[in-house]
Amino acid sequence: MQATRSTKYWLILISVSLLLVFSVVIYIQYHQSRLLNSTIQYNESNVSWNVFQVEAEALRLGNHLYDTLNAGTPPDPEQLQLRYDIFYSRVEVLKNNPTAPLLLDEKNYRAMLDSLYRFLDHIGPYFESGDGLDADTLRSILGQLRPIQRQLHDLSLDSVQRSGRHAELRAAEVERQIRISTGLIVFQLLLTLLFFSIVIRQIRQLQTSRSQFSNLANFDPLTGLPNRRLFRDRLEQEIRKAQRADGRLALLFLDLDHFKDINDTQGHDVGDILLKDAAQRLIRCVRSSDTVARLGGDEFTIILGGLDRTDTAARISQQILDSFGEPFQLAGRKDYISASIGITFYPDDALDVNALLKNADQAMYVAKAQGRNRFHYFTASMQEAAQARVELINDLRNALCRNQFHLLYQPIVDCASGAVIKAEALIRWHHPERGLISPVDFIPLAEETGLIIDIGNWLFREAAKQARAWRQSHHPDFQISINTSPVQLQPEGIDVQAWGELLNSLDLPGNSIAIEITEGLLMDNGFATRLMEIQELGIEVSLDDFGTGYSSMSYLKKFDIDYLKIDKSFVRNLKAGSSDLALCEAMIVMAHKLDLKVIAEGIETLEQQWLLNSTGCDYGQGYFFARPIPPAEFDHYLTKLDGQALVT
Amino acid sequence: MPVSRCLTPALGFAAMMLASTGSNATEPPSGDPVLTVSGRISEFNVDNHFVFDMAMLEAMPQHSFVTNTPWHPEAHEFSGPLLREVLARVGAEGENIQAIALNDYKVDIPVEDARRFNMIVARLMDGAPMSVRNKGPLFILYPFDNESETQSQIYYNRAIWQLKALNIE
Repeated sequence: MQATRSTKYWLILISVSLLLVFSVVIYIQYHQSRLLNSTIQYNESNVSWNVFQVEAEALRLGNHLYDTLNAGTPPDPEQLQLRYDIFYSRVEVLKNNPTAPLLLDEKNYRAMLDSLYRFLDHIGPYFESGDGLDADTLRSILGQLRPIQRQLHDLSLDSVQRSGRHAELRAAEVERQIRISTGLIVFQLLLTLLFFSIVIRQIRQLQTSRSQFSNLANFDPLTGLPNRRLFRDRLEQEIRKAQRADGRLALLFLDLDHFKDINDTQGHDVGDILLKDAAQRLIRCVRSSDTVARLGGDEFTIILGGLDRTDTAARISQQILDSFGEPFQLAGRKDYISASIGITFYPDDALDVNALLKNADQAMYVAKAQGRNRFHYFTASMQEAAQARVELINDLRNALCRNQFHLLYQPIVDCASGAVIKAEALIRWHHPERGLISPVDFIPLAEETGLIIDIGNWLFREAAKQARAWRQSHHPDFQISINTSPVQLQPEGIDVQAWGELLNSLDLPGNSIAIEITEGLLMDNGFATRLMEIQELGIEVSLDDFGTGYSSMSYLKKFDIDYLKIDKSFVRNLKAGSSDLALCEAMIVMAHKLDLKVIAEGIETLEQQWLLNSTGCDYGQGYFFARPIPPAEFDHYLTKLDGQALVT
Repeated sequence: MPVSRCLTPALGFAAMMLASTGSNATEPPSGDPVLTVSGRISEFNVDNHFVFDMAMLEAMPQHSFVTNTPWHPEAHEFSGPLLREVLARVGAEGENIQAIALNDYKVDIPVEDARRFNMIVARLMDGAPMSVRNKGPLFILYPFDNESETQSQIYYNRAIWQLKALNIE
């Protein structure tokens, strides 16, 4: 910026100088042309001639007077008049030559003219009338003429010498001016060259910055790989090439497995190192004619052009997966990062950039779903599944207002007393055409689209109303637990105040509701604040699927967790003396030490219930007691249970 | 009167015919001679010369222009017959004119100049006759201001004043 401004000043300075020099040169040339002006030159060259002519005419006049004097006859007045007039006119010519005073010694010249006019005026009357020109007068006139002739002779000689000198001076002057103007023109030339060199340099700089800009626009600054923009461009080009050559190309969509975890736990700097290294590995695995691009995040694409065999794509994909088998050096420690790759072919699977990208993306997700660290081809059924997914999302948007959701409740049984004062609310979606859709299928979609917020609020409201009803009809401490998605705990998730107001309006204490969260949530500080806000309402927190994730004790301590739910995978294989039983026992002991109650999920047999009872488990939940049932059936179930309790 | 308007040019033309073919063409001048033409000419009025007096020059078609000259501080109007018409009047056949002044200054003027430029044998300056003192009575002039080509030493030298004779060669 600073450089550009100074360049601008330089250019202005040079332009002004050029203008000045131009003007001076033009002025000099004008001056020269004036010097060489033919009229002036003529007059200058005629000064000597004019003086000489006056001298000659004076001589003629003298001769004529002599002749008249010698002839002794009376003078011819006409001839005298003519000689006088010619002499007079010659004097006039000399007087009227504007260059004469410059070329002659001015003092002499003026004196000469003075004496000439004095003489002419004196003798004028005689010549005009012709009277009184006797011999004495003639002699007197001749006497007056003689010094004038001498004076004219001197002036004439002087003029010849002076005009020679003047010519030399003039030549010298012209030469000097030519030298000056030549110098100026050379200077002008240098200025012009300087001007253009600066302009050219500026243009070069501009071009460089433009090409840098286009680099920035087309390449990912982190990895140096083509970015999304250039990638699309290249893919379009490759498609055209393949179209013309009737060939085939493969598009690979690659995503690093669990990259987010690395980024979150080890920081973005480490993530960046990983991405750079991954980019290098990808480049090493492909041919030089192939394009490796980074679309953003941990998403890479690879264009394999000119494929004659489809298995080339598989070979290269396998090479990539193998190269990712080597550990990555991240911040001083080794980490193993795998990748998932989706493969699609032009023209087999799709014909345009967008469709190919979508295909490869879908295929990549399948590879991820199938366990990661693998590649998967795009298939038509994936296309259909994707289509169905889009439709399902659309239906999901309408499901709430069309009352297609309903809740089922599964009792949570007190292991010691067999009483039921807790239930887990489970959402069901009754699709008008596709029937019952499992939460496993639609909850991820709801999370992805943000619909989970509205669905979650609806669920909370329903559960709260139900809790109130059962608190009135069944047990004043009845509690319903609801599942909560991480999305709901994000800043733009649950409106905690609104939840609080709802509880107030129903005259319910917070502990009539418990929210179930997964333990992964506790690791994120962003969720933690929201979680504590909810806890402040008195709502209890239950840790779902305990034992399957990090199962970190420190988090349990940090957050005021109320319940642990032992995952059903532990309960399923529960036998006397099994390791799962030991684990369950350990978890229960630990939970009790931390003042937490334990709920075992997935109890299906009497034996399982027995074993859990023996380890001191607080609550049980599972088909052994009851499957999730509608509220009316639950009422019935409770009534029956209360009856049994009365009986016993 | 439309009739006389039509007649005037016709009468003028007839007079011109009379002047060019009439017998008075070769008559000697009645006034003082001001210009003597000699050499290769086909018309004579005094011996083998053709002598003009001022009236004869005045009788010819007059041409005038305003011009600057090296000898006058300002521009002046000069008028007189065209040189080429003077030459035609005397039936000049040469290619060169030797012009002679009262003080015997001589200069050669190519006849070509008279054809190319509207040169005049000026009799009047600003409408008045020119005295000898004022470079008269006759002054051959190029239309310097109209023909920039003539603004050079060659033509300035050929513009002769106090003209008294022309010798056609």
